[in-house]
Amino acid sequence: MQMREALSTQKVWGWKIVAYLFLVGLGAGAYLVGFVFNLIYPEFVLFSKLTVLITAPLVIVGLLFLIWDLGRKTLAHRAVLRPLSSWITRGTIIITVFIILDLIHIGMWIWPSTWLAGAPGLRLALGGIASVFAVLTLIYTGLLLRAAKPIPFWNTSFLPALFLVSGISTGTMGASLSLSAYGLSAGSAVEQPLRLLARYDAFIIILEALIICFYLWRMYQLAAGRTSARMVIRGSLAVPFWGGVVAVGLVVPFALVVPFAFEVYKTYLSTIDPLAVLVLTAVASILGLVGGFLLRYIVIAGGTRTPLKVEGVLIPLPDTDRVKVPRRAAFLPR
Amino acid sequence: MSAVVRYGMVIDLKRCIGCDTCTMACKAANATSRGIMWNRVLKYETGQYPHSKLNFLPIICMHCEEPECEKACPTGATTKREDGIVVIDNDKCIGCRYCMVVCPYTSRYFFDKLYTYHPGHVTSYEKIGYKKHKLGTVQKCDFCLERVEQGLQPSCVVSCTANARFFGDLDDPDSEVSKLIKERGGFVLNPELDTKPSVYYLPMD
Repeated sequence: MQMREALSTQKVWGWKIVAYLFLVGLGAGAYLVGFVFNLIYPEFVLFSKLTVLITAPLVIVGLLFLIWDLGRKTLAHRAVLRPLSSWITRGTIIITVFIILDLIHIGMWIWPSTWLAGAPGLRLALGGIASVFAVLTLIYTGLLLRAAKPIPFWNTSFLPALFLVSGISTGTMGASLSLSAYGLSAGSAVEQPLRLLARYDAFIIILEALIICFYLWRMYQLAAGRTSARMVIRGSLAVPFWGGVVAVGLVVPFALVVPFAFEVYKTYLSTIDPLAVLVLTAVASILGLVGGFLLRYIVIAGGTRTPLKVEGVLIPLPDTDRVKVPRRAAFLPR
Repeated sequence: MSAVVRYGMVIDLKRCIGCDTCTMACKAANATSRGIMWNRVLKYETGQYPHSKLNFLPIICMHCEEPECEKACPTGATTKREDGIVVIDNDKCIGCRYCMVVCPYTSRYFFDKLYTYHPGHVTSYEKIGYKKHKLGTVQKCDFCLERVEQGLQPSCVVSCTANARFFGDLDDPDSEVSKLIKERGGFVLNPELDTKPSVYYLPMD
């Protein structure tokens, strides 16, 4: 049976949830990148400290977006009072624990106390536990959407994987943005860690692009998922997808980052101002962050409901969003 | 109270004429805000001209045996009663709308602003009716709980002009609904989602 009418997308969740998913993913990703980077290159303490510092504000602001989206904001604490009942509860608990761990990390290592600097073993343990929660946070943002059975575009295991990789990618971008901003303002040499970071970033961008390809390809095989995939590839979401996610979020940052990361035009690079390199990295990072935000926007906005089936006929379900009523109903006397 | 009841509804698509009386009766019984319709009648077309046909599909909350909304609710506001009716506790709901996202039948509505039917004034009946709704919470059909507890039938069933709706105990094999489902081959919507709805439909032919 042909589906002549266009399926309606979900309109229950909007840009506030997009901002929530993005900021929480960005914060957790930045923390994770900082921790792993610290394990491999312990000499760049400044970078690790920066990531630990930016994590908590990002995640807290993200959580505020979720609270802003609630119908009754003053009762937000109830979301965590029944542990394990729902993905909202599990996720909020995971994120809360993560924020607390990060705040302890800040309080013991950077300000006001610094005794964790003298206890590397303990710092490693704390960072390890917090990193586990960072990974859980990243995966959770995908699981939250995956639990929606009637929306095939979300009900797939590609989503946790995509949000995990995209979170790490945006985390890397956020970390290199803050590092280059620090380098620009303080005038200190941050080129070396930035270059190392950019190398990993290039691989993560490729991985993210691959997951997006497989995700859309898989969606194209499902009835209602195909509607979403079409919308993304050549429908109403094509501009934010090709222009935003692919061009601004993946291709341009990749093109900007690779020559710098692998020192492709070495002689050329050495002639330009080191400050210009910082600006270049910052621009690439900002573009990548925009792409990460738009990726989540596309996933949220492209969620299409499975139509109802009656005797072989597919009936698109009109979505029940907030009440939208014309100012004055036509039948009422003026 | 009798041992175990499992309330359910049967909607006869052969009899439904799409008059939307159930929608209006629901509004009258529950005093929902303008724009919120716990009961909707979807209209859709089948076939090609000149053999096309207008069809109707009334949808309400399906009161699923395995409610997705209950699993999604973080506060425990949505619960399934012993008699099979899925209810929302207004006082517990925080309005996260996760239940609306996971509901396969989009039977849930977010009540974030009251739109009255008579601009500028509220009738005294509406004043009383609006008391049971809370701003910022999610709401939906509750099988007219107040009426059912009094031993009455839901208002959409009583009001149906075409006698297309039946309400009763699905667990009782001798009840009208069980017999209809058995005899006419009642089906549920989107069974592949494993929600086991308590609202059955009878085929058009």
